[in-house]
Amino acid sequence: MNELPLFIIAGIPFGCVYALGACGLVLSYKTSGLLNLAFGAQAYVISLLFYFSYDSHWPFILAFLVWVILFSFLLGVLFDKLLFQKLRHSSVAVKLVGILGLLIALPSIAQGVLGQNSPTIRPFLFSTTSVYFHIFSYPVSGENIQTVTVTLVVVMLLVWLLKYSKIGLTMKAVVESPKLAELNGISSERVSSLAFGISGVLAGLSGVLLAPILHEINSYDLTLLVVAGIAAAACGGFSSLVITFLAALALGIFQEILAGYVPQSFMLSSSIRPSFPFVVLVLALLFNKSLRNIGTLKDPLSEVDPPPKLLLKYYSYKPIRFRAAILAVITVTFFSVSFGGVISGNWKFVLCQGCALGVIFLSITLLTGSTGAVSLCQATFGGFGAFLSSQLTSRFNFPILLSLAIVTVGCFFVGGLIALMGTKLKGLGIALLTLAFALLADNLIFPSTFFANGSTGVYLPRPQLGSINFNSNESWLIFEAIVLALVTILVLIVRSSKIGLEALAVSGSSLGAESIGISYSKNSLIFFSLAAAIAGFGGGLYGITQQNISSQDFNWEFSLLFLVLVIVMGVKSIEGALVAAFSYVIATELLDTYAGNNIGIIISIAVGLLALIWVLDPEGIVERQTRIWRSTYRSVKLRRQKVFVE
Amino acid sequence: MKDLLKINNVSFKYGKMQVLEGVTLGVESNSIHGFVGANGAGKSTLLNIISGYLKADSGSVEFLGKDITDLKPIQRVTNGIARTFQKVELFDTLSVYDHVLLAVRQKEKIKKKTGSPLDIFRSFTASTKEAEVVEEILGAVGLEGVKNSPVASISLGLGRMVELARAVALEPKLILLDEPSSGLNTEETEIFVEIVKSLSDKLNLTIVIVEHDLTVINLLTDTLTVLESGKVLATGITDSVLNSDIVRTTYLGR
Repeated sequence: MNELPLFIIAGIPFGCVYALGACGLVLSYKTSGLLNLAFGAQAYVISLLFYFSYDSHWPFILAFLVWVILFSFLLGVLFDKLLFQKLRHSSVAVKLVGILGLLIALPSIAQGVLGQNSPTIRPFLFSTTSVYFHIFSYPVSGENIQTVTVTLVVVMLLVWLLKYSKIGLTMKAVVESPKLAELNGISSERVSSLAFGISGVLAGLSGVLLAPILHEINSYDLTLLVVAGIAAAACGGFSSLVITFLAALALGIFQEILAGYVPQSFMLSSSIRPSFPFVVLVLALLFNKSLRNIGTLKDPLSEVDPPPKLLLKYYSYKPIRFRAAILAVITVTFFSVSFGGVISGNWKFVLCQGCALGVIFLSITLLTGSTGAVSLCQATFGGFGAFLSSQLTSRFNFPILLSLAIVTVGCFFVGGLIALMGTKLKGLGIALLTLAFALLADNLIFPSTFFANGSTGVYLPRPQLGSINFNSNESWLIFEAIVLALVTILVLIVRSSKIGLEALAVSGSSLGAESIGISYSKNSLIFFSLAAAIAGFGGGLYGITQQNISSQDFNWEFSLLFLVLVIVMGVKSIEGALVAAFSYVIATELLDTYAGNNIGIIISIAVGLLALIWVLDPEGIVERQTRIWRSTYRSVKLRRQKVFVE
Repeated sequence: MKDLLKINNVSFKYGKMQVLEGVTLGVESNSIHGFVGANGAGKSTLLNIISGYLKADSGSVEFLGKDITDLKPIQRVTNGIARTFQKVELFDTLSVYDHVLLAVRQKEKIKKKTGSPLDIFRSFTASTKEAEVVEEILGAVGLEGVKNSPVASISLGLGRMVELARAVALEPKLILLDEPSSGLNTEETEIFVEIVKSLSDKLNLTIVIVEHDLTVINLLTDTLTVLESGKVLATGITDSVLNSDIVRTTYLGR
């Protein structure tokens, strides 16, 4: 029997949910220029609230109206008023940190408030399990009819709203030019809040509809709904709702066809289906020219704006601050070496973790701090470093440090390859490309026995250098502290080099840099490659510290978490990365002792909220403190000189 | 005199809108050539086509007798074309001095074809020779007083000077200036005109300038092209173009 029609019909409900998500993303993006990566997190929260209430015997209509319509709308408006409007004119890194803060914190806040148990997914419009009729012998169940019906009604309403209503007309005006719309008495901020409100309802709807299809409310799947939505929206160039809708439908259908035809015996058969949207996203980013400047919507009237005035306090940072940085390195080394024998064994282990993470975090300082480019896959490179080092050692009996050196070089080239792929992309485009790479690695690469060996994980032995054995945490801590110091010096040298200055130029104005012959793509190639190599190396060190490591230790969420932590602490300085790494491992250890099972939730909420507070005044915490100390020191010095003269 | 820059039958469309149609003209060496025209006449588009930021739909651009139509912006820089922007494009976190230093280094790279990945380990501090050149350029454009200031703290007028200094530091054969007086007050404009004039004389530069301010055009340019709806309305010696009947009636509305 030809199974193709069956797969097509099975894919339609997925396509419908993706379409709702994609339409919601396009709507908010077009009116604000912000790509709401927390869209899926919103969907997760609403579906939890809806099903918990419905499960507690609220009438369906009441639960639907309260959570999916009213609460979703208000949540969207609230996010816009409190966060998105403040981010509109910020740099890509600031926009990303704000939105990622929301993405990281929202699901954890929901779990903290509602508990970690999932509600029962009860059918609402139609009985989910009942088969109503057959198409090509495919049993069409209640959940399928429910999803398609709701999607069709919503899309028709949306088309009516945008095409024939007054609100639609004002939205079109704001999409065309917010400034021109304002000159005609339309408040672009109010219109964008409305768009975020509607987008919030679409998020709620997609979450509520996706849960019965997946038979669970899963934070991972729902959070990643946004990737499928972006992939579909990318196919429509983030402008046409009709193309976006059709692309989403096609995405859902092809995903099921692919899952249907890949033999179950194939090792990665279960990973291919969820990975398909990530592949589509990569292809859309690489081949759709309209996405090259994604995230930088330009108002045609922006030319009348005076040039943006930079706050002087941000300049107080010089490309390098040798004294402070070297001081930090000496402190870390001194601390590790001196107290290695004094502090308890467990804390030595924590400091070992801190040193390894410090190396990964320095890769973010090097890349984002120098070029302004954002990578959402630095933890993934860490994973490559750890897993491949283990594989080389276990399969070929290479000494672990030799394996690590080989893998570091490999990561250098993989990083370069990603930079080459994204050579035409800037800002958010590069961030999305790296996010898709991280998700692909999580789903397709890491589960393989050649990498992380699924959830079983891999073993990395501690090295032996001649007669020195690094089996104890004490000796390994000293080794890692020295390595961290060397990596810090390397990062300092690169940032204070001729190419480091060029990177600062490119991050300041790629157009200006190009006008004097400095190539954005060449610069990004060098920094991406180096940052990937450092992250891979740090991941290997982390693996050797832990000794047993699995794919969960380097999943995509860690990339987001690491990025947010480094940026919030100060991405332009070495101190920022080091403080971020050590605060993170120390806080995790303390929480592990006192918070037990809730450690993940508490960390996510804390980091998310920290990011949200930070975007209100985006200066790294460590950098701000250094600046304050400096100015205090200067004023005291001046006062003393004055007294002396008098 | 031989044309340094030749634009042959260049046409360009933004979507369905024809912005340039069959534009043909030449710019002589060591001259200052101006482009004027109403908003949307295609002046900045033409400048972007010359500098490689836009690619013409048809026609060609010749520079020093070589067809550069298919060259990327960076390749055009290495061929000797530098430019400034209507909305100043400065490097936010760098000082005025660093802007010029970067351009001086680029010039050396272009000349000697040096520059290697090993530059990643070489300090960005200026060598004595580089420092001398930077100081000289900063002096020529009157930026010595603010050389250590971050560009974020200087006025728009000085920002335009930094862009000019950065372009001059490349020692190009042709400099393209995109509406350099936009946003400047009368005093700043006068200073800018003086500096451009002196640089052009001293360095034998060829300059192409897109400008709205006819006073600046009158003071600076030797030759002028008036664009009207993407077509050349008139081109030639500045005085004669501005006094021609067609320009007076169509562009100046007299």
